[in-house]
Amino acid sequence: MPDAEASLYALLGRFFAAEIDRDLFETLQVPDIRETFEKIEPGCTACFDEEAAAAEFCRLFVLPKGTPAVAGAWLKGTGSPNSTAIVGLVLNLRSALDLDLPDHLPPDHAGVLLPLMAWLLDHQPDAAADFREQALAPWVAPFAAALQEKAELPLYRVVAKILPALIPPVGTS
Amino acid sequence: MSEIKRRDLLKIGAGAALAAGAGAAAIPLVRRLADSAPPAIDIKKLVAGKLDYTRAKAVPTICFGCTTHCGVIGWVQDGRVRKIEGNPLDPNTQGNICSKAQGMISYTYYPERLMHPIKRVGKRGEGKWKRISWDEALSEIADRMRPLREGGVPEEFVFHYGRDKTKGYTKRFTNAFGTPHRLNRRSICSSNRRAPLMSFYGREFEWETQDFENTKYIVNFGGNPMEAYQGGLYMMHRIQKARVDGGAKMVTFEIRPSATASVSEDYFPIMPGTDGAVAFAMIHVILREGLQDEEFWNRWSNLPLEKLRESVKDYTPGWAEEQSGVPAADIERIAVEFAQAAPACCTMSNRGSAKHYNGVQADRAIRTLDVLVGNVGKPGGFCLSSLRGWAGRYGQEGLPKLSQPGPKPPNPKPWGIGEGYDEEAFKKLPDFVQERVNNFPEKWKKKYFGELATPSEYPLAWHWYQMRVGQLVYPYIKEGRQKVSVYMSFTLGASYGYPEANVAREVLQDESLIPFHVAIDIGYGEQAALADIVLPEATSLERWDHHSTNNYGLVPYTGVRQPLVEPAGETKSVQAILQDLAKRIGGGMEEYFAFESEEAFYKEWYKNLPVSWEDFKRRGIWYDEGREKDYELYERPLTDAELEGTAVEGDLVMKGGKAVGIMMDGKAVRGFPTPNRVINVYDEIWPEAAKAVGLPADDVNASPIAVYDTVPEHRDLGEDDYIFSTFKWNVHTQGRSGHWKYHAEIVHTNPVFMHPETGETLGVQEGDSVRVSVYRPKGHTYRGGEDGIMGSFENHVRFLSGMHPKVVACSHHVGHWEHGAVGASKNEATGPAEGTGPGAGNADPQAAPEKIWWSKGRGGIGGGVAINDALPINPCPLTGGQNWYDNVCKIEKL
Ligand code: SF4
Repeated sequence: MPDAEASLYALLGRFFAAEIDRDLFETLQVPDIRETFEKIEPGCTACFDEEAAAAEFCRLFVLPKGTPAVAGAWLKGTGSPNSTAIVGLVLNLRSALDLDLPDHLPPDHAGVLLPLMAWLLDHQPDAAADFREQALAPWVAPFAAALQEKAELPLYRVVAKILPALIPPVGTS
Repeated sequence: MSEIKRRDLLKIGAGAALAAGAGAAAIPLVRRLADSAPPAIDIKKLVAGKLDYTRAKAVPTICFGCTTHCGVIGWVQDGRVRKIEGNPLDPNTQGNICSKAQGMISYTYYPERLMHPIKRVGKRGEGKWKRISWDEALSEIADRMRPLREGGVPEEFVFHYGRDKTKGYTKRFTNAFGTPHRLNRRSICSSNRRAPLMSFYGREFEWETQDFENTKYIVNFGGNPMEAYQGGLYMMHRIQKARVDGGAKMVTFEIRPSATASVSEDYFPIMPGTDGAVAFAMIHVILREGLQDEEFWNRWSNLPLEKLRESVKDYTPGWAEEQSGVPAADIERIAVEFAQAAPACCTMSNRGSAKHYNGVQADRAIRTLDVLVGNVGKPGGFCLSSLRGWAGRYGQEGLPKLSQPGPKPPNPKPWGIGEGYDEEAFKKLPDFVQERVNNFPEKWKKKYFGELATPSEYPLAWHWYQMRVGQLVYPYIKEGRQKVSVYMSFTLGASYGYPEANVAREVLQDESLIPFHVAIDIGYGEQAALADIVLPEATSLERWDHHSTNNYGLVPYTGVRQPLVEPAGETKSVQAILQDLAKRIGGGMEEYFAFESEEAFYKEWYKNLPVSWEDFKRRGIWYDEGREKDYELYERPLTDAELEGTAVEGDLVMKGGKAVGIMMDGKAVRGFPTPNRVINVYDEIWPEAAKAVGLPADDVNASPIAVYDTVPEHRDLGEDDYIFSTFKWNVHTQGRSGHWKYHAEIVHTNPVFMHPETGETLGVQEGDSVRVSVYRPKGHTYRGGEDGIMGSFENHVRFLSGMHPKVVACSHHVGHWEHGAVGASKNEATGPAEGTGPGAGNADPQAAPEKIWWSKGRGGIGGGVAINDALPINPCPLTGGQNWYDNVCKIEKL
């Protein structure tokens, strides 16, 4: 069975890689997940409307004026790697490790970075810590804050609350 | 819940692990493709750093930051384009580029770029979408299109593009489908300057190619190559070299001190629409002073010099001063200096002179100046160079033939009555249109394809070639002149950038007029927002194209646009989209798209080049370095091969019923590619077209020889009437760059520029807000003469002393409401730190620490206003060119 932390990253990555569908919604009914999600945002796992979820995904992560789930949108300042560096890191990792990463998303997308982090946690935990520091920590907090504010579907607000708890900003962990 | 504890996280993780362990499809895990043990990874070593020229790959391509198409080199490292440089092998740019070239990196990597096909789930225009797969998107589009083709009404499919530089690929698609409706925006842009050129010099020369490098004197009527001009980048360094190294002089007539005006030796703020008056007066002076090149005129023009003299006898410098405000003494001086510099002198013009009711005639007068001093085709003069295509056209003799790989679909049939015509489509047209077209001469009947493609009221929009009248497409659809079942817009921003853009939006919003709208574009802009399906397109850094255009170095060249990186996300090139769509529509369409890859298609296209494909890709550009420059092409004798099968009729050398040359001094030479092989200073096509559409014979546009008349709405300007003009900045394109972060940082608003004296008259100070209210035009144009204000907008005032005091001007690239945070200049507290950049240094190119610092939310000046709703649709009679610069307005202080 995969490591719990790794599975959490994989689960979170799934929220950004594609719309919430029935499969994902049912996975959220696993008691441990449901209970915690409900604790964070009561009622969030109660009902599901596939069309509304698809429109919400599109509004938040596909169209402009949403909350693009890419590092490039949120990185600030000069103290951290830029998105070009993160893209390069992901592409270099993919070729060095021969990984099958989602290719319908830009390399600095949360739908790529989070599952990649999951793989590293499972297989190379030391590298995983560095990866989190380099590729996720510099931008996840502002992204999650924006997502919390803009998401209408409670499940995305839950994800937005989990992300900064899991990936604290650089220098605060 | 106030705080999420680690144990909460682990609990979710444990649940997820359980689900993943049980094979839950909802938690996709990354897998390795290899079986071997993974190597140990040091993340810090894999983080991509600065651009490292020893590691980065340099790939030449052709920039598409604007329609100039410069040869560039992109540096690619770690999967991203990091930097754009000029390609020194490009003979047109000579290695130069402009700032917008880096904008292509912004365009490719901006965080709000559309990466997936989307389908509307709310009402059209409501902004509710869902992501769909390519398969779903293309199947649905094909299912909508197929019945039109199979049902014999392919014309109900309308393809409307804004920027299509695929050099015929999209035409391959529309032809294969069978629709003539491949509409463009040429009337918005350059048709009023192309038409006079083609009238003078023939279809092959819709664009001039002055020999700036060797010139001594340039008279520029409203062209702005230093800032915004198709081909400006090819011109600017040559003009500067001629000025700085060669002592050349440039005179500019403009309404505001543009970048070009600022490097000119003489700049005159001119009354809009009076450039022709100055040109006529210059002709008058040159003739009066006997400075004309009579030999050239008599040899190559079709108008006796005495007739020209007669036609300009009243166009004195004093008269021109009254019209234009340019001092008579300066007109005298410039005319003499220009003629004395001949043949190393040239005119230049663009929208400034041409986008007026009398603009076609103004440009004909300007073109006459060159013929009069005999500088045509001479070193330093007004040259005509081989244009695009390399298909053996005039000026392309001896070049390897390049053509799109076959099989090529046939063109659709023209619409009309009789054999070889599409009668069914024709009979659906309104009666008055049928009657008009039935009365057209045969030459036009053969070119008529309905009101959207070839509006019958504007025959000179399609007499030479299909320039269209894009701004009338939406009103015509609204009037019911053409039924539309599927409308596909491609890189088109009509609902933001066309005049009366609100009409475009109204029609696009109306599902009874446009039942199905597919938008193909790189970003989600105002046009896409009114679509049913949006297909995300690759940028020019991610796709192939053929490139060939006129070279200001006067040697034909060709280049290839090639992908530097794979299309981002799920985006696809327009070629790939249309190829796939053609296959799905089927019914034989697929036969024209049966190539195995895009690269294979382009390789075949260039197969006749005398360099290998790999070498061509490595250089990005090819031209014959030993080829003679395109000077005096018209004097070149026809070769023995060209003379084969010809017969001399009168002066003309005829082949297959067409003149291919002209006898001069007993020798068969090429002449110009006009029907009579000389320069048509006099052209009956203008009165012929006027008569055909009922334009009065005394209208300025109906004259066979250039004449002057005041722009109708400028005839009785009141004290408080002003002329409203627009312009472009060097960091923006018309409507496609408002969301490029770094360029928006430089220009993000569009104040109302006016002369300080104008401000004083109006009682406004710099920074005050004003309302600009625009009237409908007068004269024979769309809704011409209707009373009342057409539209208004508001913005703050900036003073500019070099402006003409009767003119107010705004730029028009800003004030987007789609295209994301930068385009809309909205900076929310939780908005993304928008911005993309080359990424060559350590500083984060994506980050904009101050975000959109100019947004109103940050106390900035804001993002300007969209002005195009307030500008009337105003097609020039006969050509349909949009008369952007005739608008009369009132200004109120707010
Ligand atoms: S002028 Fe600038 S933006 Fe336009 S093609 Fe050339 S380099 Fe690109």
